[in-house]
Amino acid sequence: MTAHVIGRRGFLGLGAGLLAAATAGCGFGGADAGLRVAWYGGAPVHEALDAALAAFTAGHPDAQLAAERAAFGDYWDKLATQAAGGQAPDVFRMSMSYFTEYGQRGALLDLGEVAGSIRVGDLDPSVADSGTVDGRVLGIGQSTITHAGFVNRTQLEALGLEVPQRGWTWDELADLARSFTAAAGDGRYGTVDAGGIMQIFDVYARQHGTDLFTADGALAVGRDVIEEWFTFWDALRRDGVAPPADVTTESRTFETSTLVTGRAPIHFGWVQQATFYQPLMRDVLEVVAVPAGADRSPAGQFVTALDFWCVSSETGEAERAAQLIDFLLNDDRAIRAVGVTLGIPPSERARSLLGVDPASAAGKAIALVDAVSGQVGPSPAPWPRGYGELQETFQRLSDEIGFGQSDPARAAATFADEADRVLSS
Amino acid sequence: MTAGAVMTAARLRASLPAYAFLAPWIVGMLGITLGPMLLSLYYSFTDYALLGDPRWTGWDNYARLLTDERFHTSLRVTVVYVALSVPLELAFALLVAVVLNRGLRGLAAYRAIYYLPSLLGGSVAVAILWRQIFGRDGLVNDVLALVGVDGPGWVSSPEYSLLTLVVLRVWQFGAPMVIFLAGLRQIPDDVYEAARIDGAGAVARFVRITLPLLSPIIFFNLVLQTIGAFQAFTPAFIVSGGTGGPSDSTLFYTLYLYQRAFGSFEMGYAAALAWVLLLVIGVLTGLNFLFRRYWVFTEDEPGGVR
Amino acid sequence: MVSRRVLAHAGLALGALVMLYPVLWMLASSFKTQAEIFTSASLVPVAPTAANYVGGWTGPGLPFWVYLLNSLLVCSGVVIGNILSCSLAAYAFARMRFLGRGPFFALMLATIMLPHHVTLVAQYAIFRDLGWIDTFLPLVVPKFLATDAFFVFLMVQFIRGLPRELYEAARIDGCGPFQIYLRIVMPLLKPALVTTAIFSFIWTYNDFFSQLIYLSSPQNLTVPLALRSFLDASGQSEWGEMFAMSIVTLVPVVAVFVVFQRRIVAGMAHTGLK
Repeated sequence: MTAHVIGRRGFLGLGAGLLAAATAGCGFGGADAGLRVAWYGGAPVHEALDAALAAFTAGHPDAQLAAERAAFGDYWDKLATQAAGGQAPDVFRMSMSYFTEYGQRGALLDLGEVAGSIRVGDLDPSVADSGTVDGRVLGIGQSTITHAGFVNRTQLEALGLEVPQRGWTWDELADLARSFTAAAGDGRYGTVDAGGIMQIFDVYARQHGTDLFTADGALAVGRDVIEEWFTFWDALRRDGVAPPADVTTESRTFETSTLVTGRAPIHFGWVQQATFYQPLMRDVLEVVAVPAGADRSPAGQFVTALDFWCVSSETGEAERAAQLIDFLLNDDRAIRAVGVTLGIPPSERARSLLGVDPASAAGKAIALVDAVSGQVGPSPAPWPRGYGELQETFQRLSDEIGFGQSDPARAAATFADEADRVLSS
Repeated sequence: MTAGAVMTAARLRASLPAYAFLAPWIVGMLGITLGPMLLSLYYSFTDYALLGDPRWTGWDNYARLLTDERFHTSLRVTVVYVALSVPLELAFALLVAVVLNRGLRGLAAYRAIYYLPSLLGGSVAVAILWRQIFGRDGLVNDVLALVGVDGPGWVSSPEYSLLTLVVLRVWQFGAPMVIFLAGLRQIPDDVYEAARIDGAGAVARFVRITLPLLSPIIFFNLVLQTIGAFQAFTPAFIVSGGTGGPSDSTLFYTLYLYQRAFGSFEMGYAAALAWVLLLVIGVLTGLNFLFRRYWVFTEDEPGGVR
Repeated sequence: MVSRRVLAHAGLALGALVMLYPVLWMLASSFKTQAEIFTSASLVPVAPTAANYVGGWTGPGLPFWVYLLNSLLVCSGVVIGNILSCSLAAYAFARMRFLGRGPFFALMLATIMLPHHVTLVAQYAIFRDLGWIDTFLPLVVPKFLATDAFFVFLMVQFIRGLPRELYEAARIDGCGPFQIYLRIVMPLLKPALVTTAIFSFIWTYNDFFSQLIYLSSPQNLTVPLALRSFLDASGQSEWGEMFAMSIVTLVPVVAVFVVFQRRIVAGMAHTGLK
């Protein structure tokens, strides 16, 4: 049985009269859309990409583009349904979280076959490579990211504490957070509880010698390291230095984060998020590296692409699609239109072209990328299928420790078991 | 032709007018609804990752249910939610509907105001609102602080988060209320007049007239709200940001199903979950219909309350 | 007696306050700056601004009235479809004897017991084959085919509540089933029909998932999709504009509710059921 059979039966059942009557109404007609381009994001992304697409159409009067946009969460439900129904957009924005899923299922076109028209020479090397799976170019990175610590300078300095420098260690993080908590008093904490953020744990794991996952998608990090990580954060929580679990679980969006609400001066995430946090804050935000191991090297971090431009394997307009991606990455007009809305631009050339004010949040984020670029370790393979699920599992297990429903050892064991199950299926 | 066939043919012929009325429904069922339903039943016996083709795996998905602890959690969470919220919501809706039905000035305004929370539906605004009310620094804790109690973050504590969602559902009681109001309108005034002349008080009138005559509508609301509560999705989705957290305390059944289908691309397993839910709801609904004859009054059955 | 009435009003007013709070809060938030929304629970903005309304109404993308108009179109179609098709089916289920009545009814109820997430992909394929993707048709046409079991069941219950003598009288007068449906059932069903209209409208107006799946082009988007485009969990959100436009979008639904619920209340008095 296939969906097609049902489809035809549906067509017969509905009847042409009804169809004609219904389609006669205003706004009810479908049209051939041309090249469909889909992305996720908020208003700034929509405005930026609309402008970039307009610039492309201006240069290619014969090109017809149709934009489809959605918020991040909604986008994936829609894309999955469209792809399952053979109706995926021609060009779409893809997140690292779903890249392997779509890639391995054959939904993405190998751009190597048409890549002649996409120039990747300017891209940061680690970004240019990150869309390549088994020698096939399934996506072109559209932004450069690395891990970052976000620090509220105003709050720290008000209490006579110093903003940490690149190369700070986990112990120094704990010390600084303890000092802040002691000085700041009730209802404020020294640091966000990052125990549940698997992507920051990734850095910690690499400082202990392994990636999170092996290149062929099995769990690489040891249970002892996971347990150590959970224990580190559990201690901070117990001492009131990191917030209790109920505060943490209600501060997981940018707007409600402990950084924005002023409850904790230290936060962690992807570097470009500085540009989301800063506008929500009155205080001055600084962007620093994630704490290092005893050797103070940033090698635990990596630089990669978080988002890609991909082309549907079912597209009828591969060349036009490639042309568009090339334009978005390399054309000055597109680079200016996109700015930093998609993240830190993925090439040195784009970053200097934009001439971002170094004192702005975006400028500070770019500075961190430039500073660590030469020193970070090699990028891991694209995230395995099931990465998103494990990310949620990691967070849930960390919460359970915080709520006293579990302990670091048990949570570490559960995570390892879950990882084995999810990654093998 | 056998006698049975003749009878069937005769009954078929007698059924033709009804089928004419049902024609749109039949077309919709065959054209749009039934196919996808059966297809999902088929998917439940396959490994179907959405982007590829389904692969037959027999009873594997159903066997996996037995050992899937998050499935057990989601079932438990959902049953608690249904058992708490449906009776509360219906009682509340009925009470308010009876009060708002007649007798006081300005009822139209009250009706509109009481329906307002339901208008907000599953809007994302509700997520923020709920945090402002039930969060660590929310309204509820502000009030508690006045009497010296330091409350937890109600939405963000596993012990209480589900309760706040029950409150949310009860607070959005507008839909059953409107249906009750419509039902109350169907009860002729003169029935009440007669009772009043007989000297029946407000409570007696409610018990002896309103409840029995409204029973088909109460039955409808009970059946549909139960089905709806089992499938509740949006409240947990928006309040927990789609995770069912904190630590799975609001992992509604359909939320878990959705995570499997669209988060992990396990549409086959999700379909198995869906059909198990259909079975659970179906049995409960069947029981509801079975017990109906003991308390639901219809014009069809003589010997009801009169 | 008077004190009892005052007490009733006091109780209702207190309840009304609890019910009104969210809307007042949304209204207040719509005049706040982004930073204030999340840092203050006060119902009075510190520095009220109308910028959210201006910004929300004009963008992103198309002016907001386009989305309102689209939503009103879809909702109107759904209301008409549900009232026509569901009342036909309900009349058959409630008042006619036919082969397969029990199984059909059970089948209909089963359709609302299955979570729609698992039928979505197959349904999408049907509408794809019809060439209806990115049009309003997948949202409206099914409603003309009585696919909303909720309303069929609702009307069945109401039809069964009508006095049986009415049918007998009509039948003796020589009315066929269709005439009974049209002349007797439909007028008496008014409270249920109005309820159906209200819910069809409001639920469609708020329904976001199917509109997300089937509508793509900016000029085809509806209110719930537009509201969500102000937010982005992976980046910057315009909460103030979202609240401002949420308030704007409440106006039509509140109007629909107020106007129609009057009809529920008026329903019986005018149809003269004795």
